[in-house]
Amino acid sequence: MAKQTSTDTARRLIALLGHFQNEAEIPLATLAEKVGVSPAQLADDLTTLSVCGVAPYYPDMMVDVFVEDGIVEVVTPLPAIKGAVRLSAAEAEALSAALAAAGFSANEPLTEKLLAASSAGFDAEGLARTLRTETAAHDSGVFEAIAGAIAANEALAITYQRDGAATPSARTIEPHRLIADRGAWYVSALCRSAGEARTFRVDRIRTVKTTGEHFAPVAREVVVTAFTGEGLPVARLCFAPGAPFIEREWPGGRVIESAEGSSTLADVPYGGTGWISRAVTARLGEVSVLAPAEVREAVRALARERMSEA
Amino acid sequence: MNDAVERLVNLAFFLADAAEAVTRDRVRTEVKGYSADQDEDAFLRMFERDKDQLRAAGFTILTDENNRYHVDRDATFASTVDLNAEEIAALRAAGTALLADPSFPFGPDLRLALAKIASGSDSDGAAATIAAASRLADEDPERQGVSVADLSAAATASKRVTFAYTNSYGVSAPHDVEPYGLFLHDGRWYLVGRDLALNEVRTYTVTRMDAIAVNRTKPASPDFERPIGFDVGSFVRLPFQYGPSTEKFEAELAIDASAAWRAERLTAGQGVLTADGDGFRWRVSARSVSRLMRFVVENEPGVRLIGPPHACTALRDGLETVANLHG
Repeated sequence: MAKQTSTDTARRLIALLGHFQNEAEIPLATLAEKVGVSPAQLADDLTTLSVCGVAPYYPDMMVDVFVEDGIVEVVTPLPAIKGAVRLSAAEAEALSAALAAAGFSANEPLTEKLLAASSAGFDAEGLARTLRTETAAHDSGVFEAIAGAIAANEALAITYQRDGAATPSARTIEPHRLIADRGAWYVSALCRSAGEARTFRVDRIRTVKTTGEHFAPVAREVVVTAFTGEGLPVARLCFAPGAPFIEREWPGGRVIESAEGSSTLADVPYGGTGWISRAVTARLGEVSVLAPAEVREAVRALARERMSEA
Repeated sequence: MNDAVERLVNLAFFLADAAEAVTRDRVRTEVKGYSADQDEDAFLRMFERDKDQLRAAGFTILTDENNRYHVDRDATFASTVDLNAEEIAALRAAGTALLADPSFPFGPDLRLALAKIASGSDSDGAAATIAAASRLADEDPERQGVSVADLSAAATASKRVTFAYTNSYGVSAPHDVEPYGLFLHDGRWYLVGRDLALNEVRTYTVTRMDAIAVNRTKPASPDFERPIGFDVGSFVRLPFQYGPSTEKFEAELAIDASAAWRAERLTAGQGVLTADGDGFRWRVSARSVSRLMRFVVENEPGVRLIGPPHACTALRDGLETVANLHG
C-alpha cells in the first residue's frame, strides 16, 4: 500500500464529515470500509479529528467524536460544517469515469443527478472529450434493473439475443453477479429456462422486467473474469505457422505445443459450439479444430452456411 | 503528520465557520497549527499549500479584492442526492467492481466520492458493496492502471510526458508527447497526444510504454493547450481500421433487419449508416482486409460484406478454406 500522507488523511476525514452531521453512532468498520483503510487506522484518524475545531478551541467548539466498542459516536453537531462536502474535481472525474464504464454517459439521469448534487461546476461532457472509459454500449436501464435485482435477490424476465441467433429468446434468470470484462458487461445467473448457470452479455439483453419472485441468495465467490473455463469441455486447436495464439482472444486457453516456424497447438475451453466455431471460422483458415468432432462439424457447417450467403 | 492534518482540518472549519471573509493575519493567529514564530514567507507558502489541499478535498475557497478569504458554502456543501433503489444498486455495482479493478486508474478518488455521496444521500447504501467485478484492461492491469493515472493527471494539468515506446515491429524509441486524452477500448488503454518530434497527433497503446515521466517543472503552469474541439472519441477505431494508411480502402456492408437493433453498437459511430428497407447500408473506411473479414464473420448473421469486390472474393475463398480444413 502506498505511504499515507497528511493530505490523504485530511481528505479521508473531510469525506466523512457528512456522516458526522448530527448525533451519530456508526460502526467503525463500516466507516473504515467506506474510505478504504483499516479500522485501527481510522480510529487513529478520528483521534486526530477529536482535537480539531474552531477558535478559541473551547470544548464545545471541538469535534466531539470518540470510538468505543467498535462504534464511532458523535455527540454534538460539528462546528461550521453544513452538510457533506461536495466532490472535488478529481473525485467528480473518477465518479464520472466509473459511471461511463458502467454504461452511464454524461447526459444519463443518474450521472446528471449525482454530479449536479455532489460537485460544483463539473463539466462531465467536457471530460468525455478527453477521457473515455465506455464499455460495449448497453442500455443503462437494463444495467440498473439487473443491479437492482441482484441487490434484492429478485428473478428477472429477459429477452436475450444469443450470439449468432436471428431472433431473441425469452428467459427467466436469477441474477447473481455483474462482471465487466474487456469491453463488455456480463451478468452471471441461474437461467431457469435452461436449468443451469449461464453468463449473459448485458448488451444483448433486449428487454428486462422484474418478476416479483425472490430467490435464496447464493454464495458469492470472487470471480474476476466472466470466463473461468472451469468444468468446460476443451477443443484442441491448430494455429498455422505465423498465426499467433493470443490468450486474450481465447479465454482460458493454453498452448500445448509450439515451435518456431511450425504450427502451435492450444487447448481452449468452450461452453457451446456457437462461440468457438465462429471464432475459428473468422480466422479464415489460420486456425483449425483438431478435436472434438462436434466442434469440427460446427465449424464446417458454419463455413458452408456463410459461403452460401457471401 | 498529525500536526499537518490538524492544521488542515482546523483551517477547513475556520473558513467554513467565518461569517465574513477573513484576512491571512486572522488565519495565522486563529487557526491552531500555524506558528507565530514562523517567518512570513514560510507561512505564506504553507497557507497556499493548505488552501490547494482543501480545494483538492472539495472546498471552494474564494479570494476577494482585498486578499481576504472565504468559503462559498453553496459550492462547498452538497445537497441531498435522491436516488431510487435501482439507481443505488447500479452505483453500488459500478463502485464495487471498479474499486477492486487495478486497471481502473481512479480508485482512490472514486472511493472518496462514494463515501461523500453516501453521507449526502437518503440511502447510506450508496457506498456499500454488491456482487460485481471488473477487468476493464486484461493485459498487466496493475501496470496499465498506474500508467493511466499518471498520464491522465498529466493530460488534466497539460504537462508534457516522455516515455519509451515499442512499436508493432518491436522497435523501441523515446517519445516526447503533449497528452491530449485517453480512451479504453477492447481491454486496452490508449493515449492520444501530439508527438513533438513528429509534430503529429498520434495514438499510443499504454502497454507498449515504458519509463513514463511527467514534466515536473513549474507544475502549476501548463506546457501546452489542447486543440479547440478535441474529442478523444474520434480516435477510437474499429479493429479493421488500424493499419498502414497506404492500405486504406472503402468498405460497404449490409446490416439486415434482424441485426438492425445492434447497428449503433456495431458501427461505433464510424462511417456512414443509411437506411435500407428495415436494415442499413454501412460505408466505412478500412485498412485491413483480414480484420474486416474477421469482423464480418464474428458479427454474422445479419451482417454481410458488399464491397469492395476483392474483399468479398477473399472472404469467400477464406470460408472455402475453412470448410475444406474441416471436411
